[in-house]
Amino acid sequence: MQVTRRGLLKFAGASAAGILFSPLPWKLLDDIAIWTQTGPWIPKVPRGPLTTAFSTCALCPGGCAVEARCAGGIPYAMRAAVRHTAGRGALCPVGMTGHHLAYHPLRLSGASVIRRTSDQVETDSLSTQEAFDRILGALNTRPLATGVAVIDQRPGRTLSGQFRAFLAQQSPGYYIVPDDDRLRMHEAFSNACGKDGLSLGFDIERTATLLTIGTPVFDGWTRPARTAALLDRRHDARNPLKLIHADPRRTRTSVLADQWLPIAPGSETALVLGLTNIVMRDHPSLAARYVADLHTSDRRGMLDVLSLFTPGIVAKRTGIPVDTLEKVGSALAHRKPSMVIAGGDAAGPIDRDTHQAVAALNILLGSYGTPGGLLHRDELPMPATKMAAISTIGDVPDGSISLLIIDGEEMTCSTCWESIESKLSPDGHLVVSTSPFLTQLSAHADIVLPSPAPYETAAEVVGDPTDTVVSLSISTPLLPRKQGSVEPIELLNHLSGESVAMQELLKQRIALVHARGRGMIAGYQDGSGHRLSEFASADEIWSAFIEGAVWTSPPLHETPAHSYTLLGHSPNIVDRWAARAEGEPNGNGADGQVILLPTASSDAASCGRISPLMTKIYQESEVRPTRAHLVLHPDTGRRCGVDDGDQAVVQTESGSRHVTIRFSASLMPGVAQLSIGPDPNVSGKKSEFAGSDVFRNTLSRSPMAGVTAIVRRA
Amino acid sequence: MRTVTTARSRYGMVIDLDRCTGCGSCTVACSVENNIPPGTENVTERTGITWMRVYEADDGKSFPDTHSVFVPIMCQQCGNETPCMSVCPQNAVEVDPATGIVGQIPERCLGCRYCMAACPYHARYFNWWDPKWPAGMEAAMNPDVAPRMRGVVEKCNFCQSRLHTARERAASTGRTAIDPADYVPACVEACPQRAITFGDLDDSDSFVAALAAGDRAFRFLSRIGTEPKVWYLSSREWVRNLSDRVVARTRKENVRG
Amino acid sequence: MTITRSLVPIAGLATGLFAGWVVFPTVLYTTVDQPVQFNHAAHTGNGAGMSCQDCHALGQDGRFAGIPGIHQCAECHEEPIGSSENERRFVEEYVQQNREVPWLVYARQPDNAYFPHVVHVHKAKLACETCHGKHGSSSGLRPYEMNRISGYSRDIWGSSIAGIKSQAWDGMKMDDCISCHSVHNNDRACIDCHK
Repeated sequence: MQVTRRGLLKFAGASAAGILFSPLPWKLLDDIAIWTQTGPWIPKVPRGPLTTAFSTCALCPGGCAVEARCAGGIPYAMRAAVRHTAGRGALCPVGMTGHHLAYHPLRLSGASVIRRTSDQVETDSLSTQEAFDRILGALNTRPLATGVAVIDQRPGRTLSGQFRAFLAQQSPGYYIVPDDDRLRMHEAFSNACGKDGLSLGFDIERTATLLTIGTPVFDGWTRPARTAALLDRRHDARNPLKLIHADPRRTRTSVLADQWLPIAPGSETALVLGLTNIVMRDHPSLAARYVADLHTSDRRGMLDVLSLFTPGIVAKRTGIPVDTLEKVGSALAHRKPSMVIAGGDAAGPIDRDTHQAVAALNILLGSYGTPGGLLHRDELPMPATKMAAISTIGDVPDGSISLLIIDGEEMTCSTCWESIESKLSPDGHLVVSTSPFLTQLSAHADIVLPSPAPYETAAEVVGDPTDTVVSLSISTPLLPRKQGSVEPIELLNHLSGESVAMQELLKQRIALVHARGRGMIAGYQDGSGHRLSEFASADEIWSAFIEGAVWTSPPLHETPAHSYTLLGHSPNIVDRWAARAEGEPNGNGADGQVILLPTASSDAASCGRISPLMTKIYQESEVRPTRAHLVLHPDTGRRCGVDDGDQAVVQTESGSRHVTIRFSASLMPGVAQLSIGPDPNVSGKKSEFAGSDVFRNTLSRSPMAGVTAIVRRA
Repeated sequence: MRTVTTARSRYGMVIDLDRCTGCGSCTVACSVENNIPPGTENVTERTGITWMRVYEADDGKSFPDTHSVFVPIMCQQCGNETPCMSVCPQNAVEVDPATGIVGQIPERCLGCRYCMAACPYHARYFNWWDPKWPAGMEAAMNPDVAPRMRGVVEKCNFCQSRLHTARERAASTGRTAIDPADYVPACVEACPQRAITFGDLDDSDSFVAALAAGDRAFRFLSRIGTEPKVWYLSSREWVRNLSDRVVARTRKENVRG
Repeated sequence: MTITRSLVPIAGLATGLFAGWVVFPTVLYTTVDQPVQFNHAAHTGNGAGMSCQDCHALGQDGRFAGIPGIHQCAECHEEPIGSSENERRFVEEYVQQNREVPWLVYARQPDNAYFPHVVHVHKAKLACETCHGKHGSSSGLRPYEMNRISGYSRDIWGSSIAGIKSQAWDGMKMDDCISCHSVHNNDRACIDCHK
């Protein structure tokens, strides 16, 4: 038979017709449709039994109770443990995504050497043992007269005690904690009361008039459950709260406060002293009642300096009208209990002199030691061993550290790399970080020994330091621990030649709490409270903690001192305060000049890295500004020659940043706000580890003072 | 034989703007619950997916007299002439007669985005990319919600997977109606300020019905008659007057007016 | 010659039909063996006497547990029962190593399909066999016929490539759900069965 073209076509046509009468085309269409919807490029949801587990969020010291929903034993969603009294059913967005951090793209899989090239941060892996040996080598062969230092970004933990005990053996050994507002507040009160080792918490739950100086009350300052209560209290029939927020920055706290005092940048000291003046002038009885034994010279010094801060002068300096100042002063004096809180911002601490002024005002208002004010916290017991003294990075002589261990993530900008760098020995040094991720700080280390990610290990949570109620809980592990991660205690063991297990140390501390017998233990499952006597041993408490529970202890009833030195013990504070009466040059937009103010979300900044999903409230909506958005008033912007949505460059004496301009008429003219991070949208480029760029070396000033910057179109 | 087995309800939400602090917990909880992937590297507010989204609106005054309010906006679940449903050429939007929930069916959607143009609330989002999570993070996906594919539109559906769970609970105890406590959308559960109330608007005993009937209640763009099932509360008059403003997704045409 | 010529289209038609009805199904599906064998009959009825719910339980909250985890198998099979090679391998490779068996699930639906067992079992009073056939009394696991394109089991489409349903449990596509629901529940919406 001859094969013809016509025959072939006939055959093909007929087979096509035949196929049409078979299921092939229809079935193929169906299968391809399913394939396009469920193909291998679309992730498949996890399978497995659905369970719930309780744990404690360890991302910040707040320690909110969480209930994790798990599929096949792996948590997929976090919610607040509703029945738990301390958490009261509230989680911040960062805590809600805490289980994502184990999968963070910048997580380090094991001990790594950091290599910094001109435009990249790269990591080379090395074995844990090799890393230990190199660190031990650096410890044993360090240059003469150089010391060992540990930066502990979360003081008060059992591990902190171990660090201090280790450092006490070294000469010299520096135990460094973040130089934050909490530390400075305690210093100021210690100066004023002549008492050391104070531990104070803010009883915001019972305050009637609360003046916050830059405190980001609604931007992750404390556990959301506490600030949720604040809003409720504004409608309280018996003792409604009036929240007055002084801050040059327009933040969520400025928006939500009952009254926003948009003070001129850097005028917070003047505001506090001006209000003190008003309170002392109009209510001499207050001074008499609370400062009965005021030292004569002290009193004169105080009155002398206050005479410089008359309402008129302060109004001029702060930009707040005289009658507003008078009303705020009167509210503080009359609507009791009243309290002033300064700082607490992740963008950096407020200067010490302002804290001293705030302490003086609080003492005058009688808020120190009374309900609704500052109360003494019942501190957690620490095993009694010889410990290195607590210091800050400023206390360490330049060039004196040859081995530095940085434990934890950036808590605040008070421990940024710029402040650390000069302390390292020029004759050779080794910087070790225990961060699980590449962060601005760990990218500057030589070796990173990544500790387990959140929820991978039983982590100790020592509670919100701003709270009057002290708490202790254990973050129950919910995820399998990643191979290659190293508990910081393992490093310490290697350096000190001991072999202690973290769990045993934690149990020892729990035993101390148990032995003291103070406080209650509340379970997350049902919120029920139990006295410590109901537990036979520390092991039983440990088991309760692992199932989800928290130990809490109410504030102590200590009688306030009767003798205060309102000027503290700083010799020249009068002169330094007096200097604050004069204004600083303010940016007005002429020649593109503005005062650049850093903003930060305290919750997010506390854990170094945040879930990649947080792009939802950074890049994908306007809830939180990203590092790439410069917000300013339209008038200021126009004077700088930029318009809303423009690409621009913001330049300070320390660096520059490319930004997108965002106009907001609600901002103070002459200032510009720029976020210092964090940013959830990471790609691992070196620019992401550059640190504070435009704010470098300026974070030692109050974040409310800002820096002079030039804004120009890109 | 045809039998009706589902009790009829009209689910709705009431959001107290006097309590919202704009923290973004609802947005994040929604994304976790509904398997919305993290934004891509160059994601913006126009290309991202935020079923629940918080806007800041103000009274139009300039510094220092500006008053601002945070407004969480998601699909308003229009009950009358549902605009997205009427324009969809694919029948990919459906109002469930039993619950009133406006459902989006990604398998039917062809990605023309007509519904996005039609939605007066800009509450619909387009999948410009296939969903992608950082390596390993797929393990943290919600097993009760299927991820959507590239090229389809999606939006809030009042956490329908939680309605499924509530129905399973009801069935296991032999009840026909669900226990309202079992059906709480993720944003409602997550709000630290308890600013969001959810429930059956047709149930006169429900908290949500009482709130929606109160003096402080208003709905966005009520004048266009779409009868949304999401109500807002405020004691501030200027906030209630926002209801007449156009809610838009970009800043230039923003609620700031 | 004319006969031969007119045979060409008939041969073509036959080839097309053959390709569509015979070759296509064999090419479309590939058979994969289960990781280990499992004898349902030995566990149920006259065997160990267990019921479906003993292993495939409905939880307190009405959630269907699906295939039991290895810990549940380990309750009885901590040591091999009997001397079969399959049993020995099962205990050594999975039970003793506490590793889940990667079963190939014949009834697995795509992620966007939502099927609440509890509603069908408790409210509609359907027996397991209505949808799962005689699976519970099978003495072995037949090879899993995987669709090369979609990746799902042939059981979802049904044994007949034409989609002709011989049994209630043969094929579980959306049409099969609808055919029952159009009789018993007219109040249906997409979100009832999709997630």
